[in-house]
Amino acid sequence: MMNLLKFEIKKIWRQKKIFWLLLILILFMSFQYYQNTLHQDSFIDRLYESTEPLKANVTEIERELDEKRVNNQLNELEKQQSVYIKDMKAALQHWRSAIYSEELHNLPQLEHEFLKSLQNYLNKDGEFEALTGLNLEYVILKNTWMIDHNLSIEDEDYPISPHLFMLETGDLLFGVLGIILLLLIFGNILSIEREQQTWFTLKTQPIKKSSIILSKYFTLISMLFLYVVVVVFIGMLLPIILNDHHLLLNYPQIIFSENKIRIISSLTYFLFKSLLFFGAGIISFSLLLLISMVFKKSFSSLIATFFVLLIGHYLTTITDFSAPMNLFHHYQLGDIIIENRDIWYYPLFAVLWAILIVLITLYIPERQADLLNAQYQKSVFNSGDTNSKRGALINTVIFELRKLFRKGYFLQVISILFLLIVIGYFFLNQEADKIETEYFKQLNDEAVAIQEEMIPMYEKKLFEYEDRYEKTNDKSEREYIKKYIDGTTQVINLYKERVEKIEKGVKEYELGNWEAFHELQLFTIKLVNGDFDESLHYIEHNFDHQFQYEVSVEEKEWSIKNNIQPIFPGEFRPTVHDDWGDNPQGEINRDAWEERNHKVNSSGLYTLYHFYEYYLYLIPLGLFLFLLGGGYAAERGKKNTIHFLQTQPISKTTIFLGKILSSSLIFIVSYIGLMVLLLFLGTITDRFGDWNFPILHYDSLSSTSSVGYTGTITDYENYGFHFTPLGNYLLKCIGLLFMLTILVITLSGFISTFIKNTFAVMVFTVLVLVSGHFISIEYLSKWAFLSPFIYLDLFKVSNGTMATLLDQSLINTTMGIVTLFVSSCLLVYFSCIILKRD
Amino acid sequence: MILDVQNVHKSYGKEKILKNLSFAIEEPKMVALVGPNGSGKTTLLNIITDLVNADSGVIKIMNLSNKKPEIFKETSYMQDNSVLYDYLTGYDHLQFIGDIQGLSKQQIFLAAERIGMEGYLFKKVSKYSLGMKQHLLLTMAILNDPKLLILDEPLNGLDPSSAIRIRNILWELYNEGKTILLSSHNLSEVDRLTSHILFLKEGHLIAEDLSLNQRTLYEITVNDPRAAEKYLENHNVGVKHMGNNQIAVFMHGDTLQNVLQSLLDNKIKVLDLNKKVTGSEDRYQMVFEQKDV
Repeated sequence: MMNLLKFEIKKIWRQKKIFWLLLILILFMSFQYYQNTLHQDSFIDRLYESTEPLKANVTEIERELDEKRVNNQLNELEKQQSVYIKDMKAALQHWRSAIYSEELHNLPQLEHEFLKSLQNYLNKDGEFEALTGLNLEYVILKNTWMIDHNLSIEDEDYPISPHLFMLETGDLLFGVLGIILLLLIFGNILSIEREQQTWFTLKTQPIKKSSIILSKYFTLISMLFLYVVVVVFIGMLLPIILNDHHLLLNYPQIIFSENKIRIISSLTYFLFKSLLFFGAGIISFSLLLLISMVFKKSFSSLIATFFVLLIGHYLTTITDFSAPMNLFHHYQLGDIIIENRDIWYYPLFAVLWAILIVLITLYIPERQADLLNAQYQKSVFNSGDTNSKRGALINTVIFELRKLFRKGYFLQVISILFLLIVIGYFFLNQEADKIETEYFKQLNDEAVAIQEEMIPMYEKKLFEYEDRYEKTNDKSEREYIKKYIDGTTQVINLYKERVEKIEKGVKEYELGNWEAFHELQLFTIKLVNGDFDESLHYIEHNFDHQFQYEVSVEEKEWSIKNNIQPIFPGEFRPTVHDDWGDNPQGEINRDAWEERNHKVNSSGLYTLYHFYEYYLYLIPLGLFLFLLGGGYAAERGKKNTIHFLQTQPISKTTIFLGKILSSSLIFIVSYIGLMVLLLFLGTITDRFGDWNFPILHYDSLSSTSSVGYTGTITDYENYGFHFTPLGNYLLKCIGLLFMLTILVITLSGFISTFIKNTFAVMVFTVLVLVSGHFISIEYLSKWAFLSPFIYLDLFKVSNGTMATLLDQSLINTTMGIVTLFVSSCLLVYFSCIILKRD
Repeated sequence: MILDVQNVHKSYGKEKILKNLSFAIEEPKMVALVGPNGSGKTTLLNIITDLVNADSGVIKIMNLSNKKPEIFKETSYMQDNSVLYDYLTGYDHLQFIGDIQGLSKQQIFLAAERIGMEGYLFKKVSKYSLGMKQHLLLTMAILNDPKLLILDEPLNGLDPSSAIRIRNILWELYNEGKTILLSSHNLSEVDRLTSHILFLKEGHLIAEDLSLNQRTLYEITVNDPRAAEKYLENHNVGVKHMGNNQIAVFMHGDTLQNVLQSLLDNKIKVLDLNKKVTGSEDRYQMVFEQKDV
């Protein structure tokens, strides 16, 4: 057994897989660390800025109290508040000065002084909006921990200390991404033996089949262990070597859940994460081996493994079966730590699951018939006829397509995508129906509550006011009561109007008339924004997102004008300009609001919109890259099939172009097929959808300030927007997607001209795309529109988010299509030059 | 000029594989490239077909630069089986060549029939045996009826009957006026195919026409080898005592009849006689192992 294990590890070593793993990890982590170091100059500024809301709040309260003091209106409590607010101001001043002079070690103590004064102020019934609820709890907990452990403040957004950097990289690499990477690199350990028939070499040795499988499994576990060690080692070593930082494993980690907050040390957090990742890893490898015994080809085994994991993950999410007994819940590492639910059971159950699956693998009968089948005759293409009139390029493209067909992988990938789409659509349809039903139920409940509770309550109040009004002779009191009578009457009228609009809206909706329904939603938007009367407090008027308000109103007006069928839920349209505060509570509020107002619909066109909105287009892109991305490299490895092509009367350029064209054709035709399927499913089960449904397009400041701007300029910092019909928006996305796929193909083709390893070509392609996208956003500023990588996020490009965030009006669909096309042509040109010199 | 290789250099790192190597094939013939493993035979063939770039040197095929893909309209290169797509059928390979070279379906079937691979033409290459793959490679090579056929170890992995069949086909092709440049380890097969040999030794080529240097020797068993050696000294032959009453007689100018007559005249009994012709294997030993044959 030990000898077999050594043999397996030796094979992996010889295949340079460990080298590739190390290279990827070193490149990724070095890049991440480099990024973090670039932000260090702004650390003090960011820290200083984070105290600005506190300062503003303190100043405001102080001003209010001073005003009252001048007017002799201060009560006893307010007098005491006045004292503590001055303490807070002084403590804040010391704190901010220490930040300014970079006395990082003193900051926790100075922050503590401020929090102490704040606590005193709050004890005197003071209100401090800048720190409330979970935020306050978080700040106090963290500060106490920092003081207890004698720690300095560090940059947690862009960490460069070993403990925080290790956690940052661990969050990414000890997650689903890490599992995918390991499966991609080591996933063919068993299937490659069956594929290349070396399985028989092993089986004709005096070794049990179980020993072979177990040795492979333990090899995979060794690689998993190596991966964990390498991530930890590099994560710690990089900051220690490059920045001479100390490892402080007791630095606090704050864990937020919806309504609670916990604090643990970095070491505990990291141990949890590593342990859970290890558990997920051993389950993944056992599943992989089981599936490899069923499928003969490595590609099929990997795709099937990913498919099983994806389906499992999806079912876990929708059924909310969050327990260690569910093997797919082991992949939701972040959630397990946040929920802190039986955390120690997870590694235990992971081991049990792994043992069970490996046992099944050991006893499952092999599909030997396929391995030994040498009789099977294949049908010929085009009745076996040849056609040289098509020209060398077309013939090369046809040959590439035939190769793909013969491999059989294409059909597998398409089948899996087909299944995913059908299953995904089924759930989307269910979700859309559920949301619509809930929406109407809420409306109905609201109408009933207004009629049965609110109106009678206010009518009773009105009656009392009127009675008091009649009974009193005091003029000033009569005026005072009159105000209440008017206000209450207005509230009752608003309630009545609301009920009327609900009833009319619902009734008209059922009849297929949408206008009344949009009017109802428009009424709600204005009501929530306090347009009718801020003093009514009918609904708490804490809505403070001007841009969102204007967008939502115009969206409804557009829908009325174009007779658009409503899509549920929510009247509002959350936007990128909504300011929820840069704090944990703000994030929670933002998420809740966005979820409450996120429109879900299963009509054909809107399903296509979801395809782009949820970045689902990246799944086929990844799969096709995996299938076709090898380019030249796929023919230059152990199988030197490129020599077959090169000894025909066709140039290297023709061969290269043939590959690019055939791959692009496959990509585009497949995408068209998938999108038609989505459209078809949506249309037959729901409806085609409204071509003119309004899709928000953000306009950058530079475009709103230009002459001839036709969109709407809002009161929110002069940002503008306009609406695009859904159909037009989808056409833009499709155009960009097609050009993007061509770029991906040409890029991988270009990389394959100088890298011979197929896997390395794919990894480098992904690295170049992702890092190119990131660099374009971070560093190219005004030249970003010329970078093809910026258009990778085609959803944000097509709706103007990217242009707005970077204030680059030139980042748009047309420019994207041109840039991607030119970049692809350049890549093809340089590839041809390299090939000619080769 | 069919093939003209001039001043070719090739190194891999510090190791020089081919050193200022030149040779030419001016008229149709069959030439064998012979050398030990790792001597650079395949590298040379790959350089000739431009699959590998030479560090320097000029190569022309049919008076065209070997850099031009058009050379493959009249040239074929049979490589090792790593160039085959395992997941394609034999026919898929041939159909592609047909598409590119303008050949008909009938031509494909004729070529396959000539090599004898009709039975498994439509199976995936992954199901082929080593010999079947060699058959496919050879079918691919002869499909376009090339004037120059370059073959890298064409008889590798073939069973005796296949080897005889392929050898006959190569002879047929040669008789049809094709030029064949083949590399081989199997020297007895080389002897059966051609007398034109290119020995590749330490990066240099030694061209030999064995038919010009062929020497015949007779191994004669006599009752008194010492005496026989003495009596034959006056003849235009070389004599060497081989032990066990056997002498080796190299015929420089004299005839066998004269030699036998002389032995009989001197009362020496001839007990046995074997004729041998020195071939590529003997020359190989001379060139590479410094043995005097």
